Amino acid sequence: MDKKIILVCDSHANKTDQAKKLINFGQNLYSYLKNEIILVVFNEKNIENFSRKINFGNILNIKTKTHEFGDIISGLETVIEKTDFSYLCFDSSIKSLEQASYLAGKFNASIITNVLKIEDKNQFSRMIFNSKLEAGIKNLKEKCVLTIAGSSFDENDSIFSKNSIEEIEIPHENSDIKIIETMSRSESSSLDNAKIILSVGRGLNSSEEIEKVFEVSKLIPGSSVGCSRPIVDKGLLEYQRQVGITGRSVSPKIYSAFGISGSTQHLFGMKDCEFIISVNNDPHASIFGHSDVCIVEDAVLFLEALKNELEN
Amino acid sequence: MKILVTIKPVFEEIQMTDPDILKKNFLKNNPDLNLKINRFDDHALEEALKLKGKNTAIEIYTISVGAADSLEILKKTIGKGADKAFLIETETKNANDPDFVSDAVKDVFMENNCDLLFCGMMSEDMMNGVTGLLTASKLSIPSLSGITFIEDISSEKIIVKRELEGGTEQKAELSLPCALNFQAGINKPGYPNVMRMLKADERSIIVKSHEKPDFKNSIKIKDLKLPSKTRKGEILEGSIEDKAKAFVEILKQKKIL
Repeated sequence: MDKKIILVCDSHANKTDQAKKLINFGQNLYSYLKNEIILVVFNEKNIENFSRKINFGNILNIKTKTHEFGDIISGLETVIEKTDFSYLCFDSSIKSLEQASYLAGKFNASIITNVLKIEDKNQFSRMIFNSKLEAGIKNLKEKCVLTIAGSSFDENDSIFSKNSIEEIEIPHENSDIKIIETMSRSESSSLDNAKIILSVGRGLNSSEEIEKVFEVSKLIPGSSVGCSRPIVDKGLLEYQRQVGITGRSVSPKIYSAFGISGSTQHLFGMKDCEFIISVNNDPHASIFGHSDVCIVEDAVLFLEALKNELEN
Repeated sequence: MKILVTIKPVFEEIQMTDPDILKKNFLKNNPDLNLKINRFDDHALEEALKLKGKNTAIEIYTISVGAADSLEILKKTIGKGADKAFLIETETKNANDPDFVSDAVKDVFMENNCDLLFCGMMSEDMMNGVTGLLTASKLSIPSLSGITFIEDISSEKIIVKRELEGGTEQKAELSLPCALNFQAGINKPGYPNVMRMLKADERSIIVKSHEKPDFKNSIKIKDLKLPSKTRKGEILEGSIEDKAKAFVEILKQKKIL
């Protein structure tokens, strides 16, 4: 049986975007392996329409009773049992990581997470050490499970024009994980409409130091104060100000990061900003690689200097 | 009830260390940099200690997979209140292979009839986030990641809260045994008690090997390099006042001021 590249798209909200990103990745991988690509989606009501929207025809639509872990997994296990795969690819959300790890364990596959680039037939690059280094990871097993972080894979023309849409129905499985409640903390935030966000991170250690960014913010019309996760964890600022994967994704005209090192999680939330200025006393801070302007200074001292300059 | 907590030794001060130094040391078996407990694992250990604080019948075991210098890290976990620690002594290439680590953790979990596996949701160096999830899969026990709070626990089930992307939270119930992967910043890890640390000996820290003749690594880490830039990254020169002036100038150019 020929090996296949299986792409798993289980998103609710951004199904089209997620599917396109996975297909781009799959087609880049195809150029090395020449394995056929199958896109697996769940509970898509109008699959023909969806196929046209993403311009891809090799789709398996799995119908499950719920969207919980047990049902999704039993659908994927059914597919994998009858389809030998070389690569099984997911996006990089927490739920996807849970599914990916589970299946890697069950099918004796290697797992490489948060893949940024394809370096070679069996080698992928990903960030390590809080994005301070990029590592090439070689897969040494027959089967490999990947979670994809990068979004900049080349767009290829659809390779598989043939229309082979299949649907299967999966009976409900009782899972030993029961989701009791799902809550959203995404109420509106002053960050949503800010023209410039002044964001603070681990380089600021106390409420007195945080106060300095508010003093600067008062002098800049249309500005708002954001922060990275450690500041919220320490109770120095409220959750509504947190930028990053577990916080908000923001896109102001200017994003200015004070004392933020640039963890992958934080970079995710600020990557769409038009212009980025970063201030950090570590010249090797990973945020500098993702900034338009870099200022190597102590964040607190720089905020004081900035306040003086604005007052003049 | 027995809780096994995974403890990955990672370099101290990763944030402030020159990437070239990290690169030189990362795959070495005896690195020149000091080690500390992975931040996420420290939070997971603290959650286990909090449960033990309420129920002294709970036993806490810690486990590290790595070189001999990980012993000092395990002594710290004893100092913090763990009852026993396991060091699976191996080369660095195995300690960074999720397949090897999850196999070793699985064996210790089973041999000691553990009820709960607590892990940090990722390590600060490899940032994979799969140790707990992959071990759970191999043990055929349920597992969730992003745990921020333990609401209730009995001998049969545990109720937890967890955090997903974009401000979504979930409350979930898992049957025991299970594996939980904890988010960072959810508690304040305490300092180790020096007297307890000094008492840690071969009765409390068990050194084992997990080398199996038919084991083949699942991955190989190659080509460590500086990440490619996604933006220009122009570095401003001059005094701090000059840089503040330049900052204000940018605000004017961009019509913010």
